Amino acid sequence: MRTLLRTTAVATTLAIGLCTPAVRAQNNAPKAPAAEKSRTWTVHADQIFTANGAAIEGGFISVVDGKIAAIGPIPSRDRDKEGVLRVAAITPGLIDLSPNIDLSQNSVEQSDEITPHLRVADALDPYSLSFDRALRSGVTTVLCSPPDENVIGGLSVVVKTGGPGSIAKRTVKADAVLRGSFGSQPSRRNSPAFGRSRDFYNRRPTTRMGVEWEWRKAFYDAVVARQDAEQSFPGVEQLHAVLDGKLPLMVQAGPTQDVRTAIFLKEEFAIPNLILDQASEAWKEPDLLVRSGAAVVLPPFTWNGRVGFDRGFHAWNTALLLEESGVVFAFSGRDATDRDERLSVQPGYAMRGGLSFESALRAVTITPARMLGIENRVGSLEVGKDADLVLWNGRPFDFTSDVVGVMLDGDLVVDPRAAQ
Amino acid sequence: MRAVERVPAAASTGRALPQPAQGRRFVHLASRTRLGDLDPASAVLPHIPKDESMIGQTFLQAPFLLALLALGTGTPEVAVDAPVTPAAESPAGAPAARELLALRADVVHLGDGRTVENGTVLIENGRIRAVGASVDVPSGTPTVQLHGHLAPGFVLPHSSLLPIAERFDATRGFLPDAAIVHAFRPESDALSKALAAGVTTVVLAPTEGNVVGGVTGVVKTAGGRVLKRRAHLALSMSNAAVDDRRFPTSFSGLTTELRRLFTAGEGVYGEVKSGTLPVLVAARERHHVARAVDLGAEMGFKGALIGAALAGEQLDILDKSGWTVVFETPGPNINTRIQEAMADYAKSGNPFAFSYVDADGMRMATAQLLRRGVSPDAVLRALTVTGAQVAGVGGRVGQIERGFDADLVLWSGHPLELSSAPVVVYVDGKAVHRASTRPASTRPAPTRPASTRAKADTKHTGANR
Repeated sequence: MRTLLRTTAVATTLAIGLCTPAVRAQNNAPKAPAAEKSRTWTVHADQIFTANGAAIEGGFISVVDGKIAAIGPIPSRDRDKEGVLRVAAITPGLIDLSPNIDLSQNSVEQSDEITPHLRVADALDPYSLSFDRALRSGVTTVLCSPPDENVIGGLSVVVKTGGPGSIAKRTVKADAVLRGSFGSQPSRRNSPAFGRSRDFYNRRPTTRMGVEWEWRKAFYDAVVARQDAEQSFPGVEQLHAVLDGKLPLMVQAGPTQDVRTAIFLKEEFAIPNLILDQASEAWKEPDLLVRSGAAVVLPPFTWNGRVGFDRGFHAWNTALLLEESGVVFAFSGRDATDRDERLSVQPGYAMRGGLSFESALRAVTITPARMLGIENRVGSLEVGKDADLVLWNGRPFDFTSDVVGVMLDGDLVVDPRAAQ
Repeated sequence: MRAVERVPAAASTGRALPQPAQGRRFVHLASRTRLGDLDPASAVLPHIPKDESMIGQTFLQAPFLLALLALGTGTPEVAVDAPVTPAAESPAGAPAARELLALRADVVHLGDGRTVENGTVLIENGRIRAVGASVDVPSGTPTVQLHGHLAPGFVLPHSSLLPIAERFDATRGFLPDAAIVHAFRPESDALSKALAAGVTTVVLAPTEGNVVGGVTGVVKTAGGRVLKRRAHLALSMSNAAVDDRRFPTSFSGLTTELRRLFTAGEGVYGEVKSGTLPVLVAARERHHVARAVDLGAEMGFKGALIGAALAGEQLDILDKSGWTVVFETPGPNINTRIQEAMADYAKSGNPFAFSYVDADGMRMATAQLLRRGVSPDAVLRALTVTGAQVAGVGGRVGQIERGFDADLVLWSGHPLELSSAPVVVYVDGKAVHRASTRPASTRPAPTRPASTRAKADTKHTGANR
């Protein structure tokens, strides 16, 4: 209700012609085309949420050549400065570790179930509209993963959602994690034990048990190959990197049974870094998660609470419970098709479940950045970091607020002046 | 403007003229020769009987009728095709006879954008000896006055001329040892049609169905000559290369395997990395192109992108990148977005060429570029100089320049006008094709029964709407 009143107040202000900062931006904005392509900006906001400390009331961010050059409270002499973008609030560009980025069916390597050496970077389409959709909704950095049709799909890549038409040039971190899947998705559509096979490759796991067997066999083979080079196989280097803690392992594990299986695998092979993706039922095993030290990526909320391929139950207060247990978690927009399922609204839903604003903000910005080791470039608003900004027309994550502007590497992809 | 070949006096060549082969419209040069070992000087020349060679094209043209009257109808039509004594039958030790021929034309397009009005091309033993407005032609040289535009024979650095069974292997994704030139059949109909369309040199290439389709070859469309047996390594990074029936089934698998092969650098992959073997990469959609360019930068190769219809939307990665785009020429129904992208790319000044499917496709694709404001010089250059460079035979064909093969096409008008048609095609200085009375289109004429025609035509013109 408070927000609603505030919105009404803004509308009234508009009506009587007084200039709020947001309105003034419209009039004073530089209109020259050259300025539109600039990567140098000054943005003023009523509130700046840096995700790395307290919010700045009445703050500015100076962007020079795509990097954040200065940030702080607006000096009094600059308050009415011309040629400045003015918005209600700024947060860092959002980071999605399990985004909804299209991969064609040509992204599944069906000749093997265990393909740790394949890179999803080689399958991505930089021109995919799903990148653009993510970018325009405020998601500036994504971890793209191989599809979960293989048990171990391969190497994920961290890319910016915009920029040149080249995945290599958009890459923030190559080979960021090794991606695989538990549950029934890797065994889906595989050939039945009897009857005619469906394709050239008689693919193996047809059950959840079979999927787990493939996982254990892959790591067992990797351990054997350490002793005996002749037992080596494609992808063994990546598995060794996982075992040595040089490469995080990220697995899809939604229902409780898959969460447990993944953690048991981690403990059996002493895998240092494990990220459980789409772990909707992680709330059922908080102690196991704390014991294992695994991090969690939560799926987006749905209206019936059932999410993911295996329809795990995702409670509203899952994030709160993980926070209280001390489990590291991030939100994601995986499989989100609806406007109301985007990543930018997930923190709001978690806040409805009791999570604090600051924790909710961290779960879409600095926490996922730290999980991938890219916090030196993205995830918070600090001098020297990439100028990836989300510009809001109200308090972020309020249901009545919206993303009205997006800046990626200093490039104003969505102009807040156009939204008014 | 229709082209007219005025016939010089038969006596000027000093040789007996062959008798027209009655009943045979066209004796293909290639059918008498063996693959690859043909010497143009020793070739048996094709002969076109006079009654079918020119008259149908030109009987309405007053200058031609005048010429006929002046010369008398009993004079043999074609003097250029006089056979020479085969080299093997020459007296031992005697120097090879120099065979000279001078062609004069209203306009000569040199291929590199320059034109010469009323130019002369002097040909010696199948190669161009001189070209210009005032060429010193030795006395006694047979000279042909051609009315129309003389342009280099088109060079298309990618083609679908071979049967599909010779270009595609469904069982294996990687065929680095395949040499497609082994499938070359000089007497094939497809080759004759390409020749009739003014295409004198093509690259025989595999389909995009194999990741590594093998090594391409460069051939002439007449004479059965192979210019290059190992021209490129043909790669495919398009959708067709990832196939559910064999490895790889994914772009990740495809790229990973190529990366492995190029890193190991054995055989053809080593030749590519060392720069001795260029690559043709089938890359149809934008993400195929982006992937190919990224992999090329990583592995250290550049070449030509086959397809790349939307390259004009990718100038951020393709501008001055060192890659050449070889556009497909699917025919008249190219969609608007692709037409615009092709034109944008062509106008950007980056090199491009065309792939050959059939004559109609080639002519329509080039005409559409002109309609969208691309300069005729740029398009003609793509069909000649750039095509030859991409094919790897740049110093030899694709230009009317001293030392180049005398592969020339006489066009009835500007070579890129849709209403123009090739009238005479010379390969290695020999007229190997003359337009027949039939239209240049490769499509058969409609054969609807007369009773249904009126109704269908009404519908077609939209009169009922």
